[in-house]
Amino acid sequence: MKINFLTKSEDFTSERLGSVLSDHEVATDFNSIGSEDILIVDISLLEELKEHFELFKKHAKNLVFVSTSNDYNIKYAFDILSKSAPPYHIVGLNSEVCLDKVAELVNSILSKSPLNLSDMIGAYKDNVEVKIQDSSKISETIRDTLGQIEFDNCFSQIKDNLSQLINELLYNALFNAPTDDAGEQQFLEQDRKDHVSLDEGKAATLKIYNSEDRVFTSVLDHYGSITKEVIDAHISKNEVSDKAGGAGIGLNLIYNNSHELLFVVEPGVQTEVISVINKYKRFKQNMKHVRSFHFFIKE
Amino acid sequence: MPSVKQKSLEIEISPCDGGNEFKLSGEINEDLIVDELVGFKAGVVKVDFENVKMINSCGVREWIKLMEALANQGSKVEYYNCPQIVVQQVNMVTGFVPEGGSVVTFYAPYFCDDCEHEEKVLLVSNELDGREAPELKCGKCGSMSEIDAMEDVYLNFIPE
Repeated sequence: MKINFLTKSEDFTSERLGSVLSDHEVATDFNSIGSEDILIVDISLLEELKEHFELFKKHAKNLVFVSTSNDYNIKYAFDILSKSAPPYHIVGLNSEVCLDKVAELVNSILSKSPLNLSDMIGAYKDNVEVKIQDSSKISETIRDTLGQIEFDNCFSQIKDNLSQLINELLYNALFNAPTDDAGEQQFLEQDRKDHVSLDEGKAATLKIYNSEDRVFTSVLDHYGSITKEVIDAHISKNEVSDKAGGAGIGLNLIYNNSHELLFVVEPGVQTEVISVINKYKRFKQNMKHVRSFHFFIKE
Repeated sequence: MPSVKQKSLEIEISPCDGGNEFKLSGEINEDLIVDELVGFKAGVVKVDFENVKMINSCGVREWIKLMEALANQGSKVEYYNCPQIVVQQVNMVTGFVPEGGSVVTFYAPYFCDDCEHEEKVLLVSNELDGREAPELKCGKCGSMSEIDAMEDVYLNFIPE
């Protein structure tokens, strides 16, 4: 088993990647790729690699796209990959952080153990946690919850961004996630003006950890029904849907308001969506940060 | 002055030169009832977003329906005092500003490197030099502060 790395970046080289993945062989071509091998691809090479899209599709879960430039538009990558090889993992930022992140991700894929909130927050345990059963309480819950948190040393827009992000995450958890015994989505097409109430044991859980440099938001539902196909179809969508139910652009808003976005799905059991926002002093830095994306299926 | 009170949003409607002004307060979400806001005298509709606190995806959809209804009755829509959350939708969502509509004034974040003061500054679209925001005096220390956003993205709604 080896790690295949393709890049044209002068900063983010295979030698440097090899230095943080010293236990593994890092190769720089796509020859003789084994089924368990990991592919790491510089996203700015996508146009040149179109002939490999079938290979990408075959190795989708072991394929990590890395954005080595702040200028590269990740949404463009989603758009060109969406039809043939929708990405499971994109890592943003051209920095040491990126290198460490890729190493962390490679180890996670190899151990078949998804990245998780506990590891991400480390020793930081101060958080707000609330359960939500009733969709009519979403706005009030967000106001109360964010009202308890101080976001010092950070661009002021973060509260509005978080408010929108959490709103979309909770609506997804209460309207899109619930399934009946036959596995059919119960409230998918329900008018959002009509509220839903879940059984107590099925209530969604919202957690917010506000550390010195990042804000972690997690929303967990007890259904595990979201699929990769739904995410691929909506994450870069910017036209509202006329269909009954949601507007179809919520996932795009969630992605746009996150610096890292993770879906960890245990099919039929639960989905946890984790959003990480870096607390920059300047809004411009917040805009520039390339957005990372991960989709894990917990087996 | 008539006021339409909906579940999450209050809309004060007052006559203005050539039409009506809609002054919004609250959240634009799924509870927006479009039918209550159409049927006024056609002409210009000036929408003041100053006190809009939140907008979600279902609110965006209802808003687009409202804009389509206003366009169908022959109204021309102008947006005023758009906060950042509204500018985000303007740039991101197709149809958020209807055909023939425009963003007249909007808020942009400004940051002063000298004293690290952040402020939201109201800019007038047609006073800008394309998608370039001017440097302005910091409201706290008087040094020059610059727009705290990627101009090509944040000012994308302004025609080049």
